[in-house]
Amino acid sequence: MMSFSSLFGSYYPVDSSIHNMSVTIKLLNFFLFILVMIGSVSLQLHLFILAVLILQIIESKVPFRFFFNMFYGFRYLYILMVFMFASLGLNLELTIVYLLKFVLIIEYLALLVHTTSLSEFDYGIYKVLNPINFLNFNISYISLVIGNVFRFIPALITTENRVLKCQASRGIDYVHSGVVGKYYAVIYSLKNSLRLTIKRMKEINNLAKLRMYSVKQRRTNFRTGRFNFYSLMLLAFHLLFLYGYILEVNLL
Amino acid sequence: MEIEFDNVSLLANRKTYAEKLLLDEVSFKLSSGGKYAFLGNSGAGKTAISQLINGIMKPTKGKVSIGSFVNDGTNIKNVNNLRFDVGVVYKNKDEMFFNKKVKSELEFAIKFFKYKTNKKSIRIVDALKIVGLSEDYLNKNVDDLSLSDAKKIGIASVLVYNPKVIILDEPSLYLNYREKKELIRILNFINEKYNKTIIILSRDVNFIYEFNCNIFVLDNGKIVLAGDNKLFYDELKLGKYNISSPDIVKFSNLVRSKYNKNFRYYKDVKDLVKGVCNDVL
Repeated sequence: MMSFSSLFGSYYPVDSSIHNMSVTIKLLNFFLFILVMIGSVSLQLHLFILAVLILQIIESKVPFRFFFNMFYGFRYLYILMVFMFASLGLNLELTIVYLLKFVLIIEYLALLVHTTSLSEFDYGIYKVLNPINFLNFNISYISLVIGNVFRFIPALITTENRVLKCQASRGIDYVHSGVVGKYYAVIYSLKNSLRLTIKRMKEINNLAKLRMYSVKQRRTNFRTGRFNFYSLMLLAFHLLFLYGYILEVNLL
Repeated sequence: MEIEFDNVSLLANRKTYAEKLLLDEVSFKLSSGGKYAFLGNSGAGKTAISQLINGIMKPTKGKVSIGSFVNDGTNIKNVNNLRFDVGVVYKNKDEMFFNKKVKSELEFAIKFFKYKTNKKSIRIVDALKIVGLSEDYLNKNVDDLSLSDAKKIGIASVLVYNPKVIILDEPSLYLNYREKKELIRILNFINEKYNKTIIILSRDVNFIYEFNCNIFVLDNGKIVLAGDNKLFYDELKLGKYNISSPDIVKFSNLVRSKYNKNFRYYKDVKDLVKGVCNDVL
């Protein structure tokens, strides 16, 4: 649990072509990917996306076991899904497609999180939302809020881990206690972890403002990945996914 | 309560990119009622020692004996009894406190260790008095406490259940000189009057020097030096591990090297001023 909580949602710092890609393209690719995932039920298209995702994982230089651990962590859910689809009368191909869809989404998210730092996310979200600036929306504020949403779960897990340890030294041990003890441990740790994480998020917001992050002005710029060959190639692949989906639903 | 580390190694975040050897074949023995300090820079393995003693972490190799309890990587029997005997004061008040009010914070361990006492309120007030705080603090909000008071409440919240060993993680962090002196007075009082073993994990050489205890210097998970305050006299030796000597020792070394070879090492600033006045005037 400890290693999972300390690694979940964390950026894996390594110099790879995926890390150095433009964050705007990464988010745009993710948007296209989700669009295809929502609509498509073609097994061929899902297998093609899987192949591209595996290539991206290899290229990212993030150890493959992180992705495998993520996949393995949901093993009971796959069994439950298979039973659920069988009871709904879905055929084998559709069952495989829906399972693949789930695996692809979690692995894509893992890849995105391992290769993009949170400050880059903020910047990327700002850039992606920038075109709707003309509607007089407060884009800086919206991107700060979305960035906080991304930060919240990893921060909560880290805090939860810390609080559980501290509680254990004063009598509430989740690992070694019975049902009632576990209930107290969860209730107390959740209450405190949420309170501390919200406090932490407020501090992060204040720090962002202190570092000249103004919600009223243009987002402060900083070094980020560039629009390079890989950005172009992967964008082309994602457009290809979209094209495949369009062909699938006969939109042309 | 004796504590013994026998060839203990601890590997954190195993088989991940964050894998780190926190302790590397560490062995030492702490006797009951003593005063000890583990000195080292950030990441040297100080906190790992407290978590192994408290049974929160399990050693990858070796064995930790805490009185009749053994932490050797297998499940510790009656782990709550071990934690009842070993109180830990964490460095950060956000980690230490779980409740809004000081009163519920002090009652926390009594409640969850199922400590049987019909004098709960008396124990709480007594714990506050030991750390030099009045009953008025009971209704205060923990978020409103000053850092110094938060440290004292942290110690009081451990003292209420009367553990045999008290571990303090970075106790002098964020405190000014006067507050540090006050903390040393409290810790000495607890050690001498109630015979508690005090273990300090810190990187503050000035604080440890004035606390005057047995010292273990940690570097990259290994104990590299051990001894008493005389350890600090050799600035070069400490410098090898990126640890500087206390300011009083530096001053004494300077005087000894330039003016007077027989200049004494004083135990604190007050003692130093007194000594210098006696020597000069």
